[in-house]
Amino acid sequence: MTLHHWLLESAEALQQGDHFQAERLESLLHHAREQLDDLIEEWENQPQPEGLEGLDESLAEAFENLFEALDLLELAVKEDVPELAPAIQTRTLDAMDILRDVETTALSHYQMLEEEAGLES
Amino acid sequence: MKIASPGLQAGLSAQRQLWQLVKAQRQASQERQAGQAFVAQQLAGLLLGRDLTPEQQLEVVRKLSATSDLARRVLHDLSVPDGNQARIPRHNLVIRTGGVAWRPFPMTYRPVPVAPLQKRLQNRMALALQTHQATRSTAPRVCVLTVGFQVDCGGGLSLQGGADRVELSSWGLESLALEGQILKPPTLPRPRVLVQTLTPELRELSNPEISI
Repeated sequence: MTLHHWLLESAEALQQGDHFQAERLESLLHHAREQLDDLIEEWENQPQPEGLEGLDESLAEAFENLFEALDLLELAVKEDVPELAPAIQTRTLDAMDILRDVETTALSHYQMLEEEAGLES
Repeated sequence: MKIASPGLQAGLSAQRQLWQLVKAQRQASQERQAGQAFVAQQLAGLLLGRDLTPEQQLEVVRKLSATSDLARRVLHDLSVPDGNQARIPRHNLVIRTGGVAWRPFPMTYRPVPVAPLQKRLQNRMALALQTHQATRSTAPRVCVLTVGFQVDCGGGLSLQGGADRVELSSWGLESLALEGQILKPPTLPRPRVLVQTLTPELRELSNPEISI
């Protein structure tokens, strides 16, 4: 199950009144955060050419949303506040939207530059 | 079943609850719109007015490819193995308090939305009550907050009780009565009455899956 599907399903389950076992959820959250941290570390080690700062800013926004969704899920279970479910869904959907936008924009710029390079050569 | 006119009926500052909820939703909506505008602006300004040398162009192409790949991996490759292992569906729950065990009612309607901060406050009040009752088991239990809403059942209006309820002992009531917010509280069934109304199936239940 992908991370964003899991977050959305968990939020839905909270709204339906399902019970979450805090200890087991803790290990799942830890696993998810570790994966995100690894990707962020990899991303930070990449070169940062000028003119593409917008991509990095957008990715940062998406990662922030995902971390917030994980934090909210933890808070909702630990403090028994299922009312946080809509906030979890919103953060997750926002992150997905941003990531799709980033992927599409990066691909379109990539293709445009490839075509330019092809024409020049 | 369609909610015709959702109207909260709360004994404790319902208007304030609604107002806080509206404010929180408006603020969250504004923040979300600002975030979306920020991202759109950032992405629209990529490479704007840049004249790239061939080396820079190569570096930019690599970066674009890596970023696209990273976004795709976050969307499709990040996974949570056995994601449902921490979750127990509501219909499998058995709630036990002392010698009393019961299955929660199936949820036939969406809970009335309550602001998260209000819910946290309720939980803390309930926790304080539990602590108090652990030391004074004879303290009277009363309900000071119930939330209901009207539903349209084929043209006929009916009142259905909500799931949110705050119970306080006389100790808690005293502290709240100072602000003059208490309405006449209904009496809740005592644990002995609850035991009498249990079905034999639940009474024989000896190994509940989860206890709260």
